[in-house]
Amino acid sequence: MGQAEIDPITSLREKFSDRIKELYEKSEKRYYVLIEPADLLDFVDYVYNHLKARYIIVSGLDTPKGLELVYHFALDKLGKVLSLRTVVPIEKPEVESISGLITGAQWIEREIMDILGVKFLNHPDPRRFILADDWPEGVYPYRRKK
Amino acid sequence: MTSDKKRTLIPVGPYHPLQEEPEHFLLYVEGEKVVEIDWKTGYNHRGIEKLAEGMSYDQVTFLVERVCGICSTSHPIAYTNAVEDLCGIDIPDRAKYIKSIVGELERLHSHLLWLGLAGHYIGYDTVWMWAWKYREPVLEIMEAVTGNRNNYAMMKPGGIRRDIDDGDIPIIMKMVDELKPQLDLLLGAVQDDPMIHKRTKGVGILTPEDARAYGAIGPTARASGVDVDVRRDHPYAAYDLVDWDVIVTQNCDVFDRAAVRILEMYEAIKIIKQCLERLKKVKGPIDADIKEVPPGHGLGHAEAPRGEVFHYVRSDGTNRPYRHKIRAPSYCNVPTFKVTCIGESVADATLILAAVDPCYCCTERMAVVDVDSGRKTLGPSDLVRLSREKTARLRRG
Repeated sequence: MGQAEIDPITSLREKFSDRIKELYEKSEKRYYVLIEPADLLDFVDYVYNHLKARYIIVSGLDTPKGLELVYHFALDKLGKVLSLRTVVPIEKPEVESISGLITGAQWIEREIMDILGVKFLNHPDPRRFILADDWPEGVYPYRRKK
Repeated sequence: MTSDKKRTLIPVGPYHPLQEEPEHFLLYVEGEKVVEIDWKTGYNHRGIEKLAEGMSYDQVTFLVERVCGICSTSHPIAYTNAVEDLCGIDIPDRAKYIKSIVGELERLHSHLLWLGLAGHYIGYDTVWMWAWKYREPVLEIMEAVTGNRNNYAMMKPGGIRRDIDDGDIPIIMKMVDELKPQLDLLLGAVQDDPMIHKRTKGVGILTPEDARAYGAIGPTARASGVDVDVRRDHPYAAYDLVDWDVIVTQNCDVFDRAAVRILEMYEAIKIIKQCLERLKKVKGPIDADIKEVPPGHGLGHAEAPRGEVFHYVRSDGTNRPYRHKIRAPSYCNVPTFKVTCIGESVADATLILAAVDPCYCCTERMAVVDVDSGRKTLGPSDLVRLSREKTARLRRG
């Protein structure tokens, strides 16, 4: 179960060189990688299954560019955190679910679906999670007023 | 699962006044055996992440202190770590030691609270009374250090708010020393009691593979041989400056989850004593001045008693967070019930739910509903009774 020997950031860069839109090294312990939503599953598969990173959580936020999802992974052996960022357009907020790869991500995806209205494609159980049963359809509490 | 067997639904929760996290578990059972489990939450969603967007960075510390009543300092620690990461600053050493002291005192009282409840649950009230009796001095130490028994308000972005007087150190040290023999007593009670072994060994197995797939953390993961502790892996406060061990065991069951917690308390005492000792020599300021928060990202961890607390702060350069994401450990630990409860009896399921240390008192709200008629067949508190009866049965023979 050990994490890969070679520097994971270098290996990620080599593997996906042309598909990384932006790699931001905030510090030697914090990396933010901006990717296209269509590439998400490939990246998550590589980071989780090949680099053996630990899944932490997904953060969702409403930005002027669209709805941004930040997938946080911990490289515990190295003390680093790798965050994959992707932005989906607010007109069509859809992205593949990562729950097929990481079982534990089901619940946070359901929460983001509730609060931001992102649709996770191929989610195994896309029911409401934290919103009340009588909450109106199409109202997302964490979206910002334009 | 054959179709001729009658399925019964047991709803657990959602509310209990003593509970900091109202949650709703739906246990589907065939006879005594749990065959399916579902989890619903959000009943007490306070919108804290949203509230944080309307507060200054300094104010948010007090807000996140109120995320959890039991581990009330873990969230401020993770949050201040995130803001310090965002600003790229390092806090003074003296503040680091005090941060660790408060964090470990909290682990002590939280683990004792859990141990007491677990003892009560399996019908071993002596452990309950002992554990809660010995928790009291921990709260008194906390009061001596911070001025409060709970919601300590010690953290601030860039350091801590109050110093520990040199004159108080010997007194606090003496109080900490007195805890150890009491822990020995509890450890003995758990280790030597054949009934505790019978009720908890081999119960609620969480394999290391499942722990990873669910992102489980804290004692829940460490009892399954997953060697993860953010105090060591992503050092913050003074954890990389003192000598201590991460407790990891291999049996994956409820017994080990209890054992990990008890052994961690000894480590906590070790850490506190070393930090107090260093405070005698390490002088200087207790906070670094943060004038401005730049735009960007900040990530912070803290190892709460239940596992890693994770905070993500996005800044747009104003004096308030643009987005503040909080991930509490139970968010990842609770769904492991999907694998640990299946196939176990109802009396054991409650113990397994409790072994993760998420939401104990829910069971007081328990009712058994006949799926066909919707009629209630068991009233509140019956689950505790079931569990305690099983212990009594085992005791008899």
